[in-house]
Amino acid sequence: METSTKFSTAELTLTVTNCIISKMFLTYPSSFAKLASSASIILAMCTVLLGGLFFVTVVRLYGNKRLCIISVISNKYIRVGVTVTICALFTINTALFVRQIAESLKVSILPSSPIFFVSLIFVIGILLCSHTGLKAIVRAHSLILPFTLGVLVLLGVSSAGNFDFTNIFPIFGNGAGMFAYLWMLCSYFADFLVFFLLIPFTSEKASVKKTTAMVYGISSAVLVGVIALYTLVLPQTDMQSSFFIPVYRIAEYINYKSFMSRLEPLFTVGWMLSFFGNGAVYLYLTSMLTGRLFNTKSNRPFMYGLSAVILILSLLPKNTAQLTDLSGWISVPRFAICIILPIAILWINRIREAKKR
Amino acid sequence: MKKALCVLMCLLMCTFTSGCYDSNEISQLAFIIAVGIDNADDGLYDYTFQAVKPSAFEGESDSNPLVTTTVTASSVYTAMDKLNTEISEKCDYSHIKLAVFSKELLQRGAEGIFRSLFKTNTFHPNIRIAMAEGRASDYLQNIKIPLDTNPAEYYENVFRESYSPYSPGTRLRDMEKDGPHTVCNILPVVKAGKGDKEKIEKYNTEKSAIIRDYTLKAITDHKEAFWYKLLTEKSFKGNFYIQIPRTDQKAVVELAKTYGKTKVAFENNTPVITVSLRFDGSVLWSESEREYIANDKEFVKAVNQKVKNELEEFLEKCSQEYKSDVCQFSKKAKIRYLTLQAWESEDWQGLFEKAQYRVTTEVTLRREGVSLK
Repeated sequence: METSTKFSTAELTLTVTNCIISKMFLTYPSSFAKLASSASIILAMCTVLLGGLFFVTVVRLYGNKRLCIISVISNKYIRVGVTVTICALFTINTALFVRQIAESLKVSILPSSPIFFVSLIFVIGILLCSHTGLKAIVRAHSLILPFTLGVLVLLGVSSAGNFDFTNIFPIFGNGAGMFAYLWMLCSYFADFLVFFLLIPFTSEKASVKKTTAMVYGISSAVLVGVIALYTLVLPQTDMQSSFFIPVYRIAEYINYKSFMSRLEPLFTVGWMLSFFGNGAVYLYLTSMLTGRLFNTKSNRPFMYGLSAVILILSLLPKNTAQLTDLSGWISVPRFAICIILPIAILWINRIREAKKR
Repeated sequence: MKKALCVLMCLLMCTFTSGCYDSNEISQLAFIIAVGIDNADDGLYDYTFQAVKPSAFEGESDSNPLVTTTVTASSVYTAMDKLNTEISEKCDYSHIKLAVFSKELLQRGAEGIFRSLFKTNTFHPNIRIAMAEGRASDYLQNIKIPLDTNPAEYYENVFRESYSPYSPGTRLRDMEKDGPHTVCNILPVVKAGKGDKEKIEKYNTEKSAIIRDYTLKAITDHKEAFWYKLLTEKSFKGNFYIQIPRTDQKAVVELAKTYGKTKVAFENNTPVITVSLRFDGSVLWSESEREYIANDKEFVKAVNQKVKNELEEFLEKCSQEYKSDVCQFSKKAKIRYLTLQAWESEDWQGLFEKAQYRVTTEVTLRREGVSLK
C-alpha cells in the first residue's frame, strides 16, 4: 500500500470530478430521457439542488478530518461488511461501465471486433493504469479532466448551429411524473464516494471544504450543461429510442464548413481517457480495500484477480437491452451505498463523539 | 532534458504503433457518394450505388470517375452486402452526400426505407435527400460530373440551400419524426437527364416535391421552395419579377429578409398562425426608362402586395391543398402545451388543415441598381 502517497487538493478535486462526470457522456440517463423537453433540464437543476444538500451535509459532518470513511467504523464486523459491499459495488459498476464503453467503441470505431476483445483491451488498459500506482493515477486525472472538459466545450460550440430551442417544449415534459425520478437522480453524485476513500492520501494542507465545493461546482455545471446540450440538439424521440450513444449522435450533426464531417468517432474517443482514468481509480480502490481486508502488504495481486472478475462480469449481459436494464437496476444500490451509507456512518460517528464528550 | 526526451520518445513511438492489419489503401476503396432507391418487383427495391474510382483522377485519364451499380434487395443492409459481392473494392460509405428516391416509390410511401436509413450510422444524418422524376437509377447512371469537380462536392453544392435558390436543402435528419405527429418536408426534384448529348443536359429541375409522412403529396414549382426556405430560416434572399403598375414593363427586385416572426395561437380550437416578415428590397433591373422607380409609391405598393399575396397563397396551399405542415408550425404550436401527453394527444394534422393565417409583410425598397442618386 502506498501510505507515503500524498497529493494536493486540486489533484483530488480533478480525480473525484472525473469519476462523477465521465458517465454523462456515455449514456443519456434513462430517467432524463423519459422526461424529455425542458423537464430534463429542470430535473437536472433539482438534482443539483439536492446534491448541494448532500455536499453541505458531508462538509458539516466530516469537518476537516482526513479519514477514510471505512476507518471511522469502529465495529470490526460492520467494517468488513461495509468494505465487502463497497468492493462488490465497485466491481459490478466497473464491469457494467467496461461493457458500456466496449459497446460504444464497437458502434463507433471497432464495428467488426468481437465484444470480448474490446472489453479485454479495455480491462488490460485499466489494469496497467492502476498498476502504476495511486500517485500516477491521480496525476493522470489532472491532465484528463481538462481534456475531457475541452472536448465537451468543443462539442457544445460545434453543435451550436444545430440547437433547436423548440425542443425544450412542452415545458413540463412528461408532467408530474418527473418528480418520481428525483430520488434516483442523486445517484449522479454517487461517485463522490471516491473522495471518502482518497482523502487520507492528501497532503496536510488539503481542504475538505474547498475540494467538496469545487467537485460540486464543476460536476453540477457539467450535468446541467450536458443535459441542456442533449435536449437542444437531439429530438425528443431520439433521446428515448436511439441506440447510439448521445455524444455520437450529437457529433453526427457536426459539419465544419461541409468538408469536415463524420467527426463522431473523434468526439467519442475524446472521452476514452476519462473512462480509463475512472476505471483505474475504481480498480485501484477495490484492490486496496480487498488488501486491507486480508491485511496484505501489497494490493497488486488482487488487481489481477479483480480485473479477471470485471472482464467476466462485463461479458455476462447477453445484449445491450439487458445491459441497460442492469445499469438502471444498479443505480438503486449505488444510491444506497454511495449517498445514504456515508451520511449514516458520519452521522452515527458524530453522535458517538458527542456522547463521549 | 529527461522529460523532453520522454515526450519525444512517446511521439516517436506513435509512428511505429499505427499497425497495418486494418489499413485501407485508397486504391482498394470505392467511395460511395450517392444512393438511388427505386421500386422493384415482389416488394423489393432497386438500390443504385454511385461510387468514385480514385484512380480515375490520376494523370490525364479520360475515364468516367463514377461507377454506378444497381442491386435488388429487400433492405438497405442486404443491398450493401450484395454490393460488396458486385464490386471488388471495399465500399466506404462515409462520403455519401445524396439519397435519391424515385417518384413512384415516394407515391407509394417510403417510411420503412427511411426508418432503416435512420437506424444505421452508415447513412449520415446530414446527407441530402432528393426525388427523381423518373427512376433514381437513371438519374445516377446518366449524370455527368465534370472531372475537375470533386463529385461528392458537386452534390453537396448543387443541393445546398444557400447556393441554389430552388433547393430546399432537406437532409436526412429533417425527415425524422419527433413524436407521433406527421412529418412534412419539401424535396428538390431531379430528372433522369437522358437528353440530346450535343446539348448541355439538365439534371436538376426547379420543381419541389411536398412529402408528408414519407409519401409524395404534390409537385410544385420553385416558389414553394423559396417561401419554405424563407420561413424556416434556411435562406434569407430571393428575386421577384414584378410588373410595374400602369405599364407592361417588368422589374426585378431582390428581397432580403430582415425580420421574421411566426406565432401560433388558438381561437375556438382553430390554429391562428401569424406570420410577420420584413424585407429590404433592391431594384436590380427594370424595363422602364424611368429612373428611380424605387421611389414610386405605387411600385412599392405593388411589390408589397405581390409578396403578401404569394406568401398567403403558399400558406393556404400548404394547409388546404397539400395538407402538409412543411414549415413546421407544429414546433411553434407545441409551446402552448404544458405536457408532452397533452401535445401528443392533440390531432395537429386535423387542426393544421383548418388553420387560419394572418400575414403581415413589409418591403422597404432601399436602392436601385448599385449607384447612389
